[in-house]
Amino acid sequence: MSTTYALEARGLSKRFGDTVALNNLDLAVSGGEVICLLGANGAGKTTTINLFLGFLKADSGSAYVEGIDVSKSPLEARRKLAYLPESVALYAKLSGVENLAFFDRLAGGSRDDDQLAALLREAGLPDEAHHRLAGTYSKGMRQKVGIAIAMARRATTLLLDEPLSGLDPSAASSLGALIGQLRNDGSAVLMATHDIFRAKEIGDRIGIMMRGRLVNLLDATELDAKEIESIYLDHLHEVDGHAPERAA
Amino acid sequence: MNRAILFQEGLTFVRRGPALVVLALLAVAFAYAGWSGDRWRDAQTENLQAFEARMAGELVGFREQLAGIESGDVEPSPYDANPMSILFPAVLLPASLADFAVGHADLHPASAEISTWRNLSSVFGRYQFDNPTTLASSSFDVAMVVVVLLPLLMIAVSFDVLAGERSRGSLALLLSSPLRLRELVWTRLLYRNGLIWLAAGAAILLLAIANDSGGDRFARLGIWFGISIVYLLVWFALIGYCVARFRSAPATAGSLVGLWLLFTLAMPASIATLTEALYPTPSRLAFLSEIRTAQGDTNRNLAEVTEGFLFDHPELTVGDESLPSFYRAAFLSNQAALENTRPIVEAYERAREGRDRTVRWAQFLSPSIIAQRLLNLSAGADLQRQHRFQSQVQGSLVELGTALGPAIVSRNRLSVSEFDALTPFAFEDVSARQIAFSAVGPGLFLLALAVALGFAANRRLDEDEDGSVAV
Amino acid sequence: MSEAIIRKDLTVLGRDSLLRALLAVTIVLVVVSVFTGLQRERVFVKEKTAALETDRSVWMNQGDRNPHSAAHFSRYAFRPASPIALLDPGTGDFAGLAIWMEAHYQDPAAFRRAEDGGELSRYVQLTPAFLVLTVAPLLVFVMLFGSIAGEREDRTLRQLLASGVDAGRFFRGKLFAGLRLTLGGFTAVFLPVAVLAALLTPADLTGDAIVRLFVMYLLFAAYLVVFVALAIGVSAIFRTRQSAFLALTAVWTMMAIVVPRFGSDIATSVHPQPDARDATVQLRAASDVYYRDTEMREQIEKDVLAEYGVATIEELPIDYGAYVLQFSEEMSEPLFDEFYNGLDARYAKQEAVVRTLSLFTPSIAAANLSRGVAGTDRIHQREFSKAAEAHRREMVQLLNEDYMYNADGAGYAYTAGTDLWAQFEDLDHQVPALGSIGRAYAIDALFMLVWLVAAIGFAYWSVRRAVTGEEAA
Repeated sequence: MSTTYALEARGLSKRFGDTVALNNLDLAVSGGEVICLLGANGAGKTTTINLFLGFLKADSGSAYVEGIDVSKSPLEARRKLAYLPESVALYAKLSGVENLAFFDRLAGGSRDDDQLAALLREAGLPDEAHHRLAGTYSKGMRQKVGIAIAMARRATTLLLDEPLSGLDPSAASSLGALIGQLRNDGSAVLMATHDIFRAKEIGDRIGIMMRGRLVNLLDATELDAKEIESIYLDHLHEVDGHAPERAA
Repeated sequence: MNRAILFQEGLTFVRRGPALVVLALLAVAFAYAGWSGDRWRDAQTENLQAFEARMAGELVGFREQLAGIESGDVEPSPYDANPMSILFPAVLLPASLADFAVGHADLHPASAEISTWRNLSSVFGRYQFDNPTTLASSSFDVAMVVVVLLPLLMIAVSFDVLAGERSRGSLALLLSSPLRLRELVWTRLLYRNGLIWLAAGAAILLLAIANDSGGDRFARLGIWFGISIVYLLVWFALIGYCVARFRSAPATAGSLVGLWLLFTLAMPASIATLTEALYPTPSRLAFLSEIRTAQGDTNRNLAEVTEGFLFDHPELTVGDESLPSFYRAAFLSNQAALENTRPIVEAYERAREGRDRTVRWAQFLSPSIIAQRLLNLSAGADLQRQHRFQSQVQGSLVELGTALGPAIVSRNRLSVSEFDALTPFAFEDVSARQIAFSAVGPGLFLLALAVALGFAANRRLDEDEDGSVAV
Repeated sequence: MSEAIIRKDLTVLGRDSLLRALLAVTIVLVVVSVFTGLQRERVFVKEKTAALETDRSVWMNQGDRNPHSAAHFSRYAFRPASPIALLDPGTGDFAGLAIWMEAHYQDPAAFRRAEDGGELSRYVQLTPAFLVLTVAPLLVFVMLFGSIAGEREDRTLRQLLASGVDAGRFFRGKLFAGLRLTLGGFTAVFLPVAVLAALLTPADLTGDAIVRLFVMYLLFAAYLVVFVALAIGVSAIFRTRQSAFLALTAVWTMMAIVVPRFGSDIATSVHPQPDARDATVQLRAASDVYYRDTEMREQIEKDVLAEYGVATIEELPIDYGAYVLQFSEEMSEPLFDEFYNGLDARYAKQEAVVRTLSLFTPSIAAANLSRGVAGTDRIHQREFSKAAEAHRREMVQLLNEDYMYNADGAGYAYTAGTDLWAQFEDLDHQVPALGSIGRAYAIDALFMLVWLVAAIGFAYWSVRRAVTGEEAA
């Protein structure tokens, strides 16, 4: 292995019963780069993320996080990662600060309240919300706490699973800006989304996924959203022409 | 009732495993409780009847001996046909529906030997032979299945009748068709609980027929059914109310289980503690001490006590003086014990009355207490039946002492006609009609409670619907 | 590092208002149960002391009479009060308080307090042991049903796992949070109750009682640990709080209510309680075994005459009537032993049936042990009745021998007085030391231990499974 990527998939495949969820994925994400995986439901985006998290065992191929083979030492790999799901799950009976403090301690941190508050502020959570119970938060606020948790981990590799879906436009754009900020600080980000415009806005490269395959990897800086959409639709028709792929 | 909902329930509810598990559990519980109750009742009846027959045989022998002596055919020893040998058996046979509830029947004496050798502490003989470990835990009888387990099973199949739809979001879809919320809730509840009730009713009826022992069994069974129905209706309405009142399934289930705990455990325990603290019974040991003192005093002063007795009965002429004095002493000391313990017995009566009164009022705090009491009553397993038996035995003992006293103290025999005039003990039980009569009040209360809860539930459901917050 | 999970769980649980309300109610119930327990023990000790004094005084003041007549009048033996009975009255109320030490008869213990109970106490009694053995498991379940199912339902478990928490650490965090709250709460309630019980007990506080209190604490704590582990294990099986709650309610109903009751019912169905009438007949037969056998009676008369080398009863230096009384006692004794040993064997068989159901619930073994430690179970009752019977035999012999050697031809007209009566002492029987009868509880203790290990093992297995399942979800 010449270069150590933040995230690397080599020939990664996963199947559930007869359905191929992920077919021979090769992908590498370096530090300071955001790759967005674009695709419909069931295209294999979340499966990819779960394979990097070690939540799933690959049928073949390997996933590496900062050079660590996920299938061999999933816990070690996870400790290098920060993960932001579509909907960040927080403890409803704990406040934002308490949630953050809990995940911080879980990761071995020992930040005091001021430091935790600073993180939340940085993630964009207004001060008045810090001590409210997380049960009262909107989705955008929860995602922001999720970002703060990720930042608290000081992880430089981020896995984001549709983090923007269901957010109102202003929350989505501020979260997008935050992700850009993290990238600029040198983090590697792999983000799954089905929103072409957000993908174009945030991503450096865009991977188009169809039925478990990475069918194209585009340079987002060279294309506009319209172009990406037409490429995406072309792929869609191409795949629809064939019968769904089945395992032998 | 909505046919479409019924149809949908029929498809989904029974297809799910839990419903069948619940019905199977119910069948097993009823079958076991019925079998065990029947076994207990039959064994108890058989033992008591054997005892009665043995005693009756001895009485026949006594009468023959007496008749022989009276006709001058036999030269008697002073011990022959002595009036102190007269012993009437008293038995408390299980009632005709006793296999349905053991209740208090296993703890108290079920037989007595009414004889002038006995006082109140010894008339029931030695009967404390049960294993305290198993005795301490009350029986697994049909009443327990109805009062304790059935409501819990009803809760288990009903609590998610609405909350499940709410959380899945399918409630909005359902209500977008012309269907009232209350119609949906009650139809479903009726379907799910109806299955349980039908199974329970069939099980009870089967047990009633299979273990039939005659008597007024089916009259009592009618009362049993009536009480069970209103009791389960209360739970049915309560479930409906909680389903309407609480939006989430855990809150519905939690509140219902909490109420179940309150009604079946917490309330009975608290009321028991309260009534027993308010109306303590006199100490059994003090009772014993009183008897001992009376016996001791009589023994020490036998001559004076005898003289006193004879003085009170100037018509007596003293008979065979060769009979040992301890016969007379035993009789007189037992009479003295009866006399001296009267205040204690009265204190017992007062404590019991106080407790009865308190429980009669306090029972309205918990439908389970009402049901348990009335089911026990209709099965003849109530505490009052035991007390009635005990006081009738006491009455009979006093009566026998009065009838035989003169002969015993004057050391004479009875004549055959005097013997024939003695009345053997026969337990006077309450009739099914009386039981039904005492069940009417509490039963109507349960019914009213069920109706009120049903109305309250409907109001909430309608509010929910009108406020469009059903989803 | 499970510390973070423990602290988080404790904070979350502390904010549950339902739980706080339940705890408050429980504390009220504990106070009431301790107070009423103390009260009943006081009444019992007072009544017992009074009865013993009356019994002694009636006995001493019976005047001059024939010793055998006195042996019929005889005395009562009273069961000793266990100093910590207020924690668990056990089956004490269902066993007799006093045994009549009458000549010719070994009586069962009479005067069962349960017979004076009201109609509701037949079903449930508010005692500290009831609260720990029956109510506390439900509290534990209410507290912990969402422990893992909740994390799954809210998807926070996934979040935790993504942070690199492994199954072992997660399990330890969950278990210790539950244990800290449960055992902390239990200790906070038990300690003052134990001190109160020790200080205010109306019975004599012995070193043994302190040992018993300590063992009681360990037993209850172990029992609660089992339920904490069960709660976590069952909670980990389900994906929603609702299912976990329902399942735990079902588990509690079965373990704490249904199986124990079913157990004792089936025990008496398989091995019925003895019929009182039948038992009375057997005891009568044991009592008059000598008097029924005319041939033997004649033989014994010949033997005694031969032994003393005289031709008639009148020439004997002893009172033959008294001799026969003692002889008949000694003939009956092995028959009484046989009867009561048979009874004990039947009881033991019944209890073995109940104990078998320990496979389905830890409550049976815990209840057996709790009663045993409190000194209020059948085994302690048996120790009492054995002591009473030994005393009866000794005392009847004392009276018969006085009659036999001192009657001097007066026969039944012979009387003795206070000097002799004074020799018939009160029964001196104390609650036996736990160590001396501990062996009787070995199987129950073993069951408890197995439950402890199995419950923790189950919880670990179940949590691991939930964690792997969550990863795959």
